[in-house]
Formats: sequence, C-alpha cells, structure tokens
Amino acid sequence: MTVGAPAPVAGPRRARRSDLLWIAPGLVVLALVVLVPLGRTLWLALHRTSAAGDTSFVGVDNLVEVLTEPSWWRAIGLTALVAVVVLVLQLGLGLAFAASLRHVARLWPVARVLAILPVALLAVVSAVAARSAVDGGFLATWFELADAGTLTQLAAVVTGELWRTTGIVVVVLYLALTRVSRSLLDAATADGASSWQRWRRVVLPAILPSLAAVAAWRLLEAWRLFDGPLVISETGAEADPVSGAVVVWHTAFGTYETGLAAAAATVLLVLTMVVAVAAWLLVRLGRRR
Amino acid sequence: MLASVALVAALAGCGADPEPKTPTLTWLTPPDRANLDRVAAECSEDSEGAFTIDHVELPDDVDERRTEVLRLLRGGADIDILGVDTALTAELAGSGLLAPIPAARAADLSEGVVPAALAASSVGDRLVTAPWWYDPQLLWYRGSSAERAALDTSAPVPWSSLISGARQIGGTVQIDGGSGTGTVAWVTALVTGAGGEVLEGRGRTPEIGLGGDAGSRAADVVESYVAAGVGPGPSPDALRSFAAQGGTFLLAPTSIVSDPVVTAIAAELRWTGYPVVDGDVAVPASGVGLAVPADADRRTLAFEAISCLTGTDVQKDLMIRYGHAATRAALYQDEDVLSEYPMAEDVEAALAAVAPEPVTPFYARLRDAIGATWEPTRDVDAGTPAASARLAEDLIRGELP
Repeated sequence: MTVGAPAPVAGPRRARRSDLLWIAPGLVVLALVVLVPLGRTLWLALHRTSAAGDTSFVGVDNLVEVLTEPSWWRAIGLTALVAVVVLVLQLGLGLAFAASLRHVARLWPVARVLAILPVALLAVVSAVAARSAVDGGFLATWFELADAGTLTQLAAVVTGELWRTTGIVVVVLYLALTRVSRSLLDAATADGASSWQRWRRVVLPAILPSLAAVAAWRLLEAWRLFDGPLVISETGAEADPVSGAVVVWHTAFGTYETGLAAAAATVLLVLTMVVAVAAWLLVRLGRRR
Repeated sequence: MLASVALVAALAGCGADPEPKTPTLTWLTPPDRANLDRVAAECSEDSEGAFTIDHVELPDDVDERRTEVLRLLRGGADIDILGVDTALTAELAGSGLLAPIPAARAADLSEGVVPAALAASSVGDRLVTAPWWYDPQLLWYRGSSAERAALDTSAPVPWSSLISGARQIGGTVQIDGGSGTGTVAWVTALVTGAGGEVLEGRGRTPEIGLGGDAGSRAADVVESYVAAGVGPGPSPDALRSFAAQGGTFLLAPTSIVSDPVVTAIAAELRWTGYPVVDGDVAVPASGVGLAVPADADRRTLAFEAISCLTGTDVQKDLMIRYGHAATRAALYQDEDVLSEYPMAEDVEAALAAVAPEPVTPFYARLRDAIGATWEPTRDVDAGTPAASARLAEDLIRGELP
C-alpha cells in the first residue's frame, strides 16, 4: 500500500458509517422527543375518552368529526387571517420604521435595544395588556368595540403581537437596508431615478432575501400564536376562538375530550406543515430573485 | 470545613424536633357563605389531636371549579377531603379519581338521609360522596308582595299566577344565577315540572327529553316571563336587585338567608314553595357531598374527618346559621331547628319534591348545551327546546362545540 493514499472505495463508505454513529445519539433523542408524543397523540386520537374515564376505540371518527365541523374550520380560518394580517402589518410597519431610522442613524444604538425589549417579556404579558386594551381600555374607546366578539378578539391578538415583535422585524430590515450597495444607489440617482424608483428598483430587490426570510419567520410565528388568543378567549366565552390551538386547549383541558383534542391537534399539525412549506417557498422565492 | 459545620447544624436541627406533628388534612370546598374555617377548627378540636383540618376554597364559577378539581385530582395534588358539587358526582365517580367509601361507613353515612340528597350523592345504588348539604330553591318574597299579587301561598303557586301577579304590582321576579348554574336549574325544574325528563342514561347516547312537549311547555313559561318584563332571567345580580328598591320576588336556594345583601331586609323576608308549571311540584336543588380522593395518603383519617363534618352537630349549625338544608332527615324534627330555623317545614316539603340534576358523567356538556341555547333568556322561543336537545346530543356524543 502506498503511504498517505487511502483506498478510495473504503474511505467514503467508512466515513458514512461513522457519520451515522456520530449522529445516532441525537437521532435517538429526537425520536424520543418527537416521535413518541406524536405516536401517543395519534393513538389517543383513535379513542374517545372523557373525564369520567371511559375509553372506547372509535377509529377515525374523531378525525372525521374534526374535519367536518364548521366551527373548527372557522377557527382555522381566523388563525390564518390573524397570521396574514399580523405578517402584512409587521412587514409594512417594520419596513417603514427601518427606513425612517436610516435617516436618523445616530439613534440606532438606542433604538435597536428599545426595539428588541418587548420580546424580552413573556408573550403572556403582551397578551394580558392587549386584553385590558380591548376590555374597556384604549382600543375599546378608539374603535368603539362593543363586547367581546370576534372583532374584539382579533384586535386584541393583532395588537399584542404587533407591539411585541415588530421591533425584531425593524432591526433585521434596518440591517438589511444598511447592506444596500451605496454605489448602486448613487448610480441610480445619477441616472435620474426618483426616490420612489430608487426604492422600487434598487433597494427592494437588494433586501428581498432578508425580507423573504423575515416574512417566512414571522408567518410561522403568527400562525403559532397561542398566549394572545388563549388570554382573550377567556373574556369572549360566546365568540369563536381565533386560534385552532385554543380550540385544542379547550377541548383537552376544558371539556376533557382528550381523544377529540388529539385528533384536532393532529389536523393542526398537518396544517402547520402546509404553512411551513409555504414559508420555505417564500424564502426560496426571495433568494432566487 | 464550613460545609460540614452546616451539615451538622442541619442534622441537629432535625433531631431537636420532639413531638410528632398532628397530620393536617387539606379540605377543598366550593365557596360558601358559611364560615367553614370555623367548622374545620371545631372538627379538628373534636378529633383530640388526631388531625387538623385546613380549609381551602375552590373557584366560584362552576365550570372553572370543575376544571380545577379535575386538574388537581389528575395531577395528584395533596388533597384529603373534597367537597364535590352534586352535579359533578357522576363524572368523578366514573373517573376513578375518588376513593370508594368503605361499606361500613357508607351504611352510617346513608342512614337517615333525605332520599333526594342520597340520590344526588349516589350513582345507581352506590354511595359515592358523603351527603353534606343539599339546598332546594324556594320562592322568596318581601313583605306583603304575595298578598298584593293575589298569590295563594298555602298551595304551590303556578308560574302563570306568579308572573301576572308580579307584573300587576309592578314588581320583579328575580332568579338567582348561582355562579353559572341558574339557567340549567331553572330549565331542569320547568321541564321536570311539565312532566318530562331532561336526560336519561349515563352513556354517550342518552335520551334527551328537552325537545319534547315538556320542553315546549318550559319554553312557553320562559317566553311569558320575558314578555311580561318581570325580570332579566337568571342573573348573578338577582339578590342585589331583590334587596333593592322595587324588588318583590326571588327564586333562590335556601342558603341565601345568610347573604349580607339579604340580611339587610331580613325583617320583611317571607318564603313559600317553588312555583309549579302545571300542577306537579318540581323543585331545583343542588348541594355538596364530601369525598376522599383516590390517591389521598391518609384515607382513614379523612373518612374520620368526614364523619365529623357530616355529623348532626355540624349540619344543625349550618342549617340554623347559614340556611344550608341538612341532609339528615331527623334534624327537621329537632326542637332547636324548629324554633330557630322557621323555613324548616317548607324546606322539608321541598326536598320531598326535588327535580334532581340529571345523573350523567357528561353533565358539563349538557350545561354547555343549555347555556348556549336557553341564554340569553330574552332570545328563547318555540325552537329553543329542540335546538338545545340537538346540541346536547352532539356535545355529549363528543363533538366540538
């Protein structure tokens, strides 16, 4: 055998096997933490249980019930509406704030801390604050929100989330804006482009990857909102919950129909995977352009 | 060096504890107007050092209370004695979360108990909780309201007379909201009084009698109540409105006599039996029974404490001072009770004609269904009974609301 030249066939194969050995512990933990609860949820979803403890095997009945229940799809529709509204408002406001901050760059060191600060609080804090705002607080008086109906709940959830996390969007977009090539902008100005044309043709395409990444991230986060909808659902007992996750919560820990809640949770998981695919496509779109 | 000094000090502290501590039993009940801390203290004293009872209150709203109780029991919280709403008895009985009552104690606890209260604390023939108090509702009125409204209080008053009489004298008929149970109690009483049965069967597909003739009759009564404008229906402010200017009639459990709002008008407080729909007397009632959780450490002590808490002395005290209807039938012939608790006779008569809460583990779903359809009271119409029956069937079968 020649010194220093390992057999090409044996090398890669050995590397593959040892790769697996290295990641095996991680895979085991992942399996335990993800697959076991998932398996248990699916198992529960096949049964009908109650607080009284009687369990019976019902097969796909729970799943069918969830898929054909109008109130479930109303809740999912509202979840999607909240996600889209929060996403659009956060991107719009975030971009506006970031662009404005570029003009007062001296404030940036302070501004970036203040912008991130709300995220340091637990989500439940902004949820409770938003609830007070619609329950006789400033939002109730500004928009004349009568009682705890669906509109009030939506207002509370959107407001709470906007206040809490728009700051991060501002920070990310500000940093993206700083990376727009100075020379490109100067060239555009020399060519006679107006500020709007500069914005549309130079800046936006330049920050599109960051914009798409932030959009994908915020979309997923807005879809996952739980604290806000749960806190506000306590006031509006008659209105539909504005989040599918809250429906699962009430079914599991309110009425204790554990099997039905497990089925609803499974449907929610599938829908979330769809949203995740959408978010991934968004990122790819941003990168390709 | 420092660590070993600390360790020795800690061990010395441990060793220095001379007497064994009296075990503390944690006792959870729904919120009560009665001073249950004092009752707990008295039973602790009577035990002569065997145990100390520590009383804790559960949430006020009945749905919150149910969720809280289920979470505590399933989470293995350290509870020794639990005050179980009679509405929750069937659900907890089936869940295996309550310790079965030993046969000997069951015989003692059910001896001489009012039949309606015994039924409310049992599932089938099995005693599940120790009957403690079981309050029926009465028709309360102020001063001469009944005479002015031309009501014959020597016999059960019909709903139609009550409503028209109240309207005539410009008064109101308040219905106690009972932290979320007012509407269900009212509907149960009306349907049972009209000859129907709200729910029969303990499984997932019971027979719901809300949609039949009895349900229509009940809806008629509610509609005439609303049309006459004599009150807002079951409401948490019922007592306050009754005690305020212009209050005349009130439908509420016997324990409201100890409410501070009502004691202000105690001098002019009168009572009679619950109104009837067509002729059959059906009185709504609800109460609390005491039980021991299945995973409680000190079962024997807990059952001892329950024997004291459900004993004659405590029940007599609760009845005379706070108006909680006792479950021991003998107390209604007791001298002290007859002299100090003037309502005793009417309460005894009411307990003989109780329209019981439906015995089913899915009572909470039934309550959701009735709450979603029969509330708000002003929106009840001829289609409400059928709608509530359908919704109740769906919810009990296990569908999303």
